[in-house]
Amino acid sequence: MKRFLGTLFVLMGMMLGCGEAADGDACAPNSTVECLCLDGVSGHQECNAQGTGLVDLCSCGEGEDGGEETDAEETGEEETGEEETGEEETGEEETGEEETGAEACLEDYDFFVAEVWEPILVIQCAGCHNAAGTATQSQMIFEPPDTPGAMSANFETLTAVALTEFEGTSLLLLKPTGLHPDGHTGGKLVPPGTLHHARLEEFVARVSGALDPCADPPPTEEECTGTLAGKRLLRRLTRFEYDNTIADLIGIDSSWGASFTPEDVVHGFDNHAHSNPVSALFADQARKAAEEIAALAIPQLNPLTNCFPTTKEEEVACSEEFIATFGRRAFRRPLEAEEITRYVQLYELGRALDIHTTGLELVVTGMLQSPHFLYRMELGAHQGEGLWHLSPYEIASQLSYFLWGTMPDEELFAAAENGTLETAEGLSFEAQRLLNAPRRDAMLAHFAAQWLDVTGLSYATKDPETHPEFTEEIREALRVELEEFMARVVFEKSGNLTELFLSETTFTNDTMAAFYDLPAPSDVDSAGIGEVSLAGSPRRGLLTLGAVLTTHAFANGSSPIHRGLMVREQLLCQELPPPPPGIVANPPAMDPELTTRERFTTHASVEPCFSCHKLFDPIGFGMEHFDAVGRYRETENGLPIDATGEILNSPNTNETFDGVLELAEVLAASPDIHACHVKQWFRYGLGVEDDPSMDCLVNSLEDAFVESGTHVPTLLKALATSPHVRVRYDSPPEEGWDTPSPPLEIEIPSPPDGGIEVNDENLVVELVKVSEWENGYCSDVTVSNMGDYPIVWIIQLPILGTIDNLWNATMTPAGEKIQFEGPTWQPEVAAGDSYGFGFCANL
Amino acid sequence: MVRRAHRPKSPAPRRTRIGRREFLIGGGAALLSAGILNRLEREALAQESTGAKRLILFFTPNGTIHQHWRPTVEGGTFFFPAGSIMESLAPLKDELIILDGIDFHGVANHEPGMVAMLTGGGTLNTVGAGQSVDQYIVQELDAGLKFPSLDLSVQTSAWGASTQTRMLYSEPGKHIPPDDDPLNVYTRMFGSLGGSAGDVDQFLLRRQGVLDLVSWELKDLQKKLGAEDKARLEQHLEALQTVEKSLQPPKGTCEPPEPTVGLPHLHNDNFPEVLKAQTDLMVVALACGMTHVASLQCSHTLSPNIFTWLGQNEGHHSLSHSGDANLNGVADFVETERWFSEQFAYLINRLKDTPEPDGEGSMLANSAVLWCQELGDGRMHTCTDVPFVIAGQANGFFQTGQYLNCGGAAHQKLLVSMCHAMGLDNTTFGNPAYGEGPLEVLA
Repeated sequence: MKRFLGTLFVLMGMMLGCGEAADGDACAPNSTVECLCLDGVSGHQECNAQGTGLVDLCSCGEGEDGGEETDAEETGEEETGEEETGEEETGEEETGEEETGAEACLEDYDFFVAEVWEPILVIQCAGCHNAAGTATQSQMIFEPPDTPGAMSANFETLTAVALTEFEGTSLLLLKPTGLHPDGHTGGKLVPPGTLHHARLEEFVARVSGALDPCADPPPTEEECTGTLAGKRLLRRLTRFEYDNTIADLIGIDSSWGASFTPEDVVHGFDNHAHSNPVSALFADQARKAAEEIAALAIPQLNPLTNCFPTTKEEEVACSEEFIATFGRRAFRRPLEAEEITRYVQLYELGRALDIHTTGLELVVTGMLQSPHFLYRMELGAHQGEGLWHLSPYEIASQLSYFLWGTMPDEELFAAAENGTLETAEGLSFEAQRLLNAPRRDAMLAHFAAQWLDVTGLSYATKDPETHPEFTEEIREALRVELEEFMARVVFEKSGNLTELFLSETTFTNDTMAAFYDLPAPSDVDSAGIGEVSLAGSPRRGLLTLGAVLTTHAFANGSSPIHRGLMVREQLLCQELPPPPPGIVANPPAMDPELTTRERFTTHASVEPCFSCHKLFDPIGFGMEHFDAVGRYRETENGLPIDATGEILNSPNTNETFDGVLELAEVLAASPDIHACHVKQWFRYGLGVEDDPSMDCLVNSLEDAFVESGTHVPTLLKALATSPHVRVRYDSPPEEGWDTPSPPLEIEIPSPPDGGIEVNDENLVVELVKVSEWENGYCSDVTVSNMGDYPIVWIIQLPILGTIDNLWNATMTPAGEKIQFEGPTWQPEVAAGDSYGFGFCANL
Repeated sequence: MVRRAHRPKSPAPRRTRIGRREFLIGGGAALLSAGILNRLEREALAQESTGAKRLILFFTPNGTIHQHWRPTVEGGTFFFPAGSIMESLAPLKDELIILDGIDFHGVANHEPGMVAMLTGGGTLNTVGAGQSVDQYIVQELDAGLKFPSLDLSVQTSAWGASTQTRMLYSEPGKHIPPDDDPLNVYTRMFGSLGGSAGDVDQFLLRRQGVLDLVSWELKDLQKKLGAEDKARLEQHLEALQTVEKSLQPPKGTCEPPEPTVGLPHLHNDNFPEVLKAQTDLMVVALACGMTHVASLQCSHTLSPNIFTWLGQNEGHHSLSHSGDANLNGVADFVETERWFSEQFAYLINRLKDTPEPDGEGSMLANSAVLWCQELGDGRMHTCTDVPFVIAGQANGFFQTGQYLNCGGAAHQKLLVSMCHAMGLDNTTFGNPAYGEGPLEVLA
């Protein structure tokens, strides 16, 4: 892809020998080897004493002091490195591609600098893995890049790590990924499946000789557009989705989902497709919920079915109709005939134990535990060669769960059924319809709370001694502000990410406005929410949302660390390692003589803390005018507040600023912020990790987003109508995938004979309960004469309760049972005929 | 031909559904059920005379400050100095083994410590295959009880499920969620019983039917999937099997404790009440033979809990970072740790005061209890001298009433010792490179 053809390569003006090594020795020991420089001039480099490799880089156009020049050039590269990477990311590398069209491969060293050192090692590793840092025990110690010979030394260091194996896997792929059995003190910094992980894998492949990029050119532009879709997925409903789905499916409020064991959180999101298993606890909670929901749903049959049977035959027909109708909505697609048959078995089990509605209840109980309900399928049908077409129902579910967080509505089902979802226009129409509907707001609120890492707002304890005004009412108002702000800016105002940062209004109620010394809201709605002007106030956009400032703070003070980390990790998508072991990491004690910044500066300017803390503390310092509950303060402990700050080590956003207004402007204008926002929606919308095979999709989304002026609804529309929604690329189906499974057989207990006694062996009695309520029931009895002569029938049945209504028969007590006979005018049942009577009883 | 006369109108049928709350409690005083279905019925593995009858894990987070934790040794014995963390355990001294000098080799910091604590860094190729030690013991004992293990917790889920918030593993990288909600635990233990024996059968039959159908669907679906998703559904199938077993009615008499209705279990300030409820439920479950392996996880590493019930206003993790010069911070931290010791003492006393069902002595005498943590000195984020406390004689396996220094021994050896205490004979657990065999000092 574009990154392979880095402009760095062009501008560096130096080049390693490419593929000169023969099969045996790489070079003649201790010799000087000629190498080619970009401008066509010959340079030279040294072969090592063993003949296994070249000692240094190609020195171009110089004599003996090639080494220093190398370093000087390296330093030069360092300084221009960031801009070049930036140019790559904003898509200006067409120049690069043209110029390097002839050389389609990046040398290992160049690859190391551009694709491993700068984007990964500098930010996530070098802070600890240096001589003064805390990873001194490790074999991977990097030199500061401005030291002579540092970059090539670092290259050698990383190569050594890459070539060290543990149980057959490179250490470089075990440690930062957290997969090494001893763990990694720095944490799981480079998850498998991400772009960064792919880079590390490539580095290992290169230096171990498994990959020769000069022999295998990287994919061209055309190959890139071929993979605008990812793999097939099975996505378990999250708790949020479960509750929304139950509410729409059954029509009752659901908080069952909220009580389930929580999801794994990946990049802050709860819906990562590979991370939400059905554990035993979840399965049990889902079972309990299904039973309770079914018990509440079935008495209110009306919204669920129109079929009310009065005979056994009608019961069967009604059960099938119910299974098909309810099942279509529960499974979000029409059921196949065999499926209906299987659920009829479940119905019959429930019916055999009681009455018709018990059978339906068991059907609902089963369906709500079925994988067809609990998982959203994005599996499709194989078209050949690994291309899968998703069904229109799978497309519909993607749309509704992405944009509304719930199952498709009837209109979306209809669009699936009549084929319009399989056309680009139909898909676009439905996506737009969902984006225009009020239900999008709940989805946006759910996304925003995770994106800004404020799901902990409800648990954020504040010290009642230092912050007594922070009531539960305020806390709730902050939550509402976040939701209203996001919904109104994104869907009613400009919709631009830039406005999310720079908005001069927020949306809240009187209580919160007063709490933050803001003017009262105007045009309040029925919930008391209205627009509040921030003009002339120190607040602006999402950085000063009460929820953000309050959650990212301590119980009794602000926290520049947490606020800075939020910006770094959630807004800039740069993950940082945790504090390392072996140092005493004291948070500074509260001190009435110092401001927060002063307390933290002491601890954050000392190594080994500083190399990491400089990446986020200075960002958080910019927000220091806001206390632990988000109120503005001019001074702290009577002292002036220094809200200057800076962003370091980012590809495009290295800036200084003074205060949150300037910080907001820096962030709003930053391409890193824009790219990260796309990535976050990509993760949330698709439920996937950053997968290099989906690079092209992410790039196309970034292009669309930037071209639209960072218009969020445009991004959402692009995500909802991307090729990924309609196709997937994955392995072809395995052997036996379409072999039919042996049929299901559920054991259905036969009704107990219940001690029925008859006065003639040719009499058969059938007892059927036809209705039931809290303290009573009614049953129908059929007496059939299987013989060839008329019978004056007398039967005795054990009866539960006391009969208070009897028709078509007479009764007398008979010990513990009741004896029934025909009425005096009709005591007989003819040969081959049946006679029916009935009764109701009180329990 | 069926003749029907006019049927008088019956009263409008109104099925009363058991409301959620009643459903939870209506199960009520559970007794032996007469109608236990054969195919679910399994005898508990007859316990050999060697090995404890049960394993209990008790976890508290964020390490300790050794100077306030270590007992004082004097005159051939040891005691807990006044003001020290374990002072409240003094009356129980003879039931305990205090273990000092245990290291997690090759591991440091919050998350790696949390992962390694019970797994010993195991991989698929080591004894345990990457499971946490309790799950390995469950697997080896294969007792077929209502719950293979009962895993309870207090406020472990606000941050979602991750290597920070989970300590139990079924495989490398796959954690097992504990149950944060004592009311849910109650219904799992008691709510699956109906009122009468006949109702029990009905419930069981219905549930069996559903499980059969859902399992069929899972297996049918697996065929159409790739390897990774196949494995996920395999996990789902195993989960259903565990659920099926848990629906068995308990054997023996089980006196349920008061259910904690109306207690918001996620609220910081309710931590003590939730912990007590979970402890009580765990002891009852063990006494009734619903399980032989139980764990109780108090929050998680990096826990943000503020011990407001002690009048504090700073989070536990933050307090655990109080340097020695920060006298107030250290004092507050010690206060929280003393409170945890009291909760551990409550658990041990419950076990000590409950006679062993179908056996001799107290439950404690036949139990192997382990209080575990994921860090040594919390301020340093190191996993050296990680504090452990064993309680209970494990049916004669442990010689309690000792304070032992293990001299930097690998914690894998402690995990092996716990396996041996439960009657197993494996010689390694987790990563054997750091240590083989049991802890010598315990022999």
